[in-house]
Amino acid sequence: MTNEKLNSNSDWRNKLDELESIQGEVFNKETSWNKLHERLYSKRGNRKAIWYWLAAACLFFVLFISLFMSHKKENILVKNNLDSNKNNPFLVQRIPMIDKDTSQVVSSVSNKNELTVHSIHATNKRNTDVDHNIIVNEMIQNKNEENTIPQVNIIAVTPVDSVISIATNIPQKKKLKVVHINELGDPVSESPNIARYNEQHSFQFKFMSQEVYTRSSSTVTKSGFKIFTTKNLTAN
Amino acid sequence: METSELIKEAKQGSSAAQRYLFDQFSEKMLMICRRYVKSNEDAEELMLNGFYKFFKKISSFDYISDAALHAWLKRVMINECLMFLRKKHVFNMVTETDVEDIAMPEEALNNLSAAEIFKLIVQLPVGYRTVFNLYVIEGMPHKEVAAVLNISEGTSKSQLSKAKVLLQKMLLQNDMDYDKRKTQ
Repeated sequence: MTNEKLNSNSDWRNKLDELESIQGEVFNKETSWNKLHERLYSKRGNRKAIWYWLAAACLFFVLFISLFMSHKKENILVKNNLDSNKNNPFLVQRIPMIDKDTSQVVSSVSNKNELTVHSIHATNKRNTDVDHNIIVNEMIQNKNEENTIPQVNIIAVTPVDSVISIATNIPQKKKLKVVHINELGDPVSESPNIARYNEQHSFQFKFMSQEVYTRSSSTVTKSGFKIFTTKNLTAN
Repeated sequence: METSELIKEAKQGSSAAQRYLFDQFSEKMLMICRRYVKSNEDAEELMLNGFYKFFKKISSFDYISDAALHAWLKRVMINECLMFLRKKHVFNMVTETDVEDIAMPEEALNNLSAAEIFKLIVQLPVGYRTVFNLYVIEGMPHKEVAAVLNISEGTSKSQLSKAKVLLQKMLLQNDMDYDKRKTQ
């Protein structure tokens, strides 16, 4: 009886499950299958391809951007370097090349370094007869060395913050001529008191009579030692 | 050709076998989708989604019987429909503490044809209809229904109770109409 009831209860459910169509409603299997077939085969490939192409495009874009940025950075660095070189008077002085005619070079170098030559002459009063030609020849030699090295080209290529560029941008110290002390004049005599002060010594003695001698100094004199010059008594 | 062979060939990627399986089950599956979703277009779309997933995962399916295959397909379709309904946020249901236990008008339903029952169910509001479908037709307990629809158990019970009341009213109306037609 209960089974019959259960069966009758599930009857309408089974009927509902078996329902395939309702009158008046048309279901086109063909078009539906075509849609599904398209999704199952062609669309899947297209979607995959789209994702691959998208990934490739993204990669290409990133590479292009990175290349473009690096190239731009290099240009900026070179431009900045050139600008700094233009503003640097030290580098501008180096640019002119040496003339073939050595006599012209001598004259130009002597004119440029007139001040240094004069200063040397001013300080070195004794050596007024120093051969001027020797100094000039040395300067010409230095100038030739500087001009034979094409430093401007190297600076243009190197970046601003590199060691080479920093080194080149720092103005070189003027090389002063080493002058021996004897060339300046008579040697100044040192004060004898100052020299002999270091030789002064102080002592403290205690004898059996308990007399203590303080500030006893033994100064070295020309004649010899001078001891026990002062005496103090201490009361026990 | 037997269904087991069709499944085997479909696993190997045979388009003809897939077409055959589709022809065999598509109408029934469409009706199931239509029980959950009112719109015919939406139901068809969901049915196609279900078949798409079925053919994609067919390699993991071991054929036992036609009933098992039907149950598996039905489960796939119902899941698709529930996903669709969840996306639309249609489950704004109010919980009622006092839920009357209303009996199902089984006899009245048994007297109706499948199409008539179908039409009655489709007329129910979406919340009532979904709970009714899951609890009464699919046989899910309230706990499971609540978990599937992200609602409380009480809400599921109250929705079912309201669905039954509404269905009874509709059946009465249907009876009256039937009697009227009979007398005329």
